[in-house]
Amino acid sequence: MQKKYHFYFVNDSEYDQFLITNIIELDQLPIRAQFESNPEIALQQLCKMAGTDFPDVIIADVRLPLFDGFEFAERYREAFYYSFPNTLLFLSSSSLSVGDRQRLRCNALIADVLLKPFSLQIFKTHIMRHLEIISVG
Amino acid sequence: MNDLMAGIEAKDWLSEHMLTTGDIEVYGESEQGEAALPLSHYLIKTYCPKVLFVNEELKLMGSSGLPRPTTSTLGNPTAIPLEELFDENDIALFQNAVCKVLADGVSVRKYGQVLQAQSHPVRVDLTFRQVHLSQHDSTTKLVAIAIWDSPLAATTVTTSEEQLIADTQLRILNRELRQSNAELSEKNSYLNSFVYGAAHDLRSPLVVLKSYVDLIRRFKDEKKKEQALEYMKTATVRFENVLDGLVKLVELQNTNQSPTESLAFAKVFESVCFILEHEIEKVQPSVDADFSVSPTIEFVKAYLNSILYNLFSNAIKYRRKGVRLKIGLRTLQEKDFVVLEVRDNGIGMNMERYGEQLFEPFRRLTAQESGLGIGLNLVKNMVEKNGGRIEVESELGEGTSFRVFLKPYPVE
Repeated sequence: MQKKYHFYFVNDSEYDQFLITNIIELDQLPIRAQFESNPEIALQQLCKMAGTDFPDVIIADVRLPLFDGFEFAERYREAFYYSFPNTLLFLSSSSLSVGDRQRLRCNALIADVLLKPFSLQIFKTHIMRHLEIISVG
Repeated sequence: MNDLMAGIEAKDWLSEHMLTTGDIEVYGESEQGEAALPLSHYLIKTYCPKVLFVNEELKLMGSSGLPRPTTSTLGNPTAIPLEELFDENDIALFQNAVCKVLADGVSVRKYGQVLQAQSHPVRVDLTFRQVHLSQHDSTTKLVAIAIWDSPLAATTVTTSEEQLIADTQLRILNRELRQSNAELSEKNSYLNSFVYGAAHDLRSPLVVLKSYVDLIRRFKDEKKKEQALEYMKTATVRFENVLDGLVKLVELQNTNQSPTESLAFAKVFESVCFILEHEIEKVQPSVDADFSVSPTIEFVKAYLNSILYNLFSNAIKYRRKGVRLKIGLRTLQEKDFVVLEVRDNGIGMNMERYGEQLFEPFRRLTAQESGLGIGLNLVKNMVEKNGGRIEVESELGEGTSFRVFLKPYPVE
């Protein structure tokens, strides 16, 4: 049986959640998706998962309530990165400002930015490719 | 400079040009006062042609009390005899006004009489300025500023008058330019974040529509198709709402003056409740509205409606689950302002952490409700554009209190 990757989405858009769930289902992607819309709660949940089922991939939206995806990435780095270096962190957004692009260039922790909408193409070319590299490595 | 011509108050002028009394180091008696006088003369004529001051009768008095004949080169550009310009009352008023503006310094006296004008060598940045003050209609006015590079370097004073004038004008223009640049840079930064936020929020629902069209084509299950169509419908509503909010914000930025009228808070609140009837019925909040302290205000109707609507609807939107929502509204009078207070026992915010972002456009500080993040920015713009301000107190899990300081328009 093919291994299912644990994907953790920090995303407060119900449209995205519906879309992602259905792409995974329709295209039978080897992904187990979990969603959280509040970035603060997401960090707390990741703490709980640390001992049991830490995600293989985390995808945080740039535009989040409370604090943005960049701040989420920073807090994630402080708390988890050194314990889980193989977990991939992506950011997602439907548009990126010049400021966002500059912030991305300065952040080596973020594997890539996924330009929405989520699609099979994005999952295959951007995310799974990274996972395969890690698995092979 | 135009302000000077119009006879602006010295304090205002100083403040406008960032020469507040706090910035100014008052030095003792200047040995260079004499050299500055031709320039003062020029400036008086240039900047304040109607000035009512100064001629050879004036003497500069040092702190020692000895007269120094330094003003003899100044002419009286008004050609009006001094006796007609100043009487005893003027002089007394002027003395009081001058004392308020600047501390002790060198005084210009009319043969030892009470002040008609006062002259101070002051240090601002790296330059020294001779500030002359005079009085007209009981109001202190700045009539001239002379600038020279150092009171100790007499040679700089011998620079040609044209050079000094050009230098003075350049310094003033530079200062004004720096101020304008700072304001422009602030506006640009706001505009950048605004345009990006707007573009993002308009693009998001479009992205949803585009991706859902593909998704629906692939669905065989009718229920899922229906569900996707429902999401598409809400995405178009969201798109429309964002667009409406944007139009309102842009309109607000471009509106210079809207007609005002006397508005009763109770009536405005009644119309807001009517619009929010559905939400009020659903949530059943306990509402305590008391506008008795300031029942009415002269204001722009659309703005007051919008301010009250946004604050009241936010209180409903960001309520605590499992706790009966209580909303208190009241008006207060604080100096020149009518204060509209809206407080609730909702989810509250961590002000230390998020306070600065509260009024940013397209910023949402809670995951509880999917608002547009435009409402509070609108409120802030409407209030500040009309001379007011907003104060917020909030405790996470306790509630929030907005105090909106509204500046009433004068009744026509």
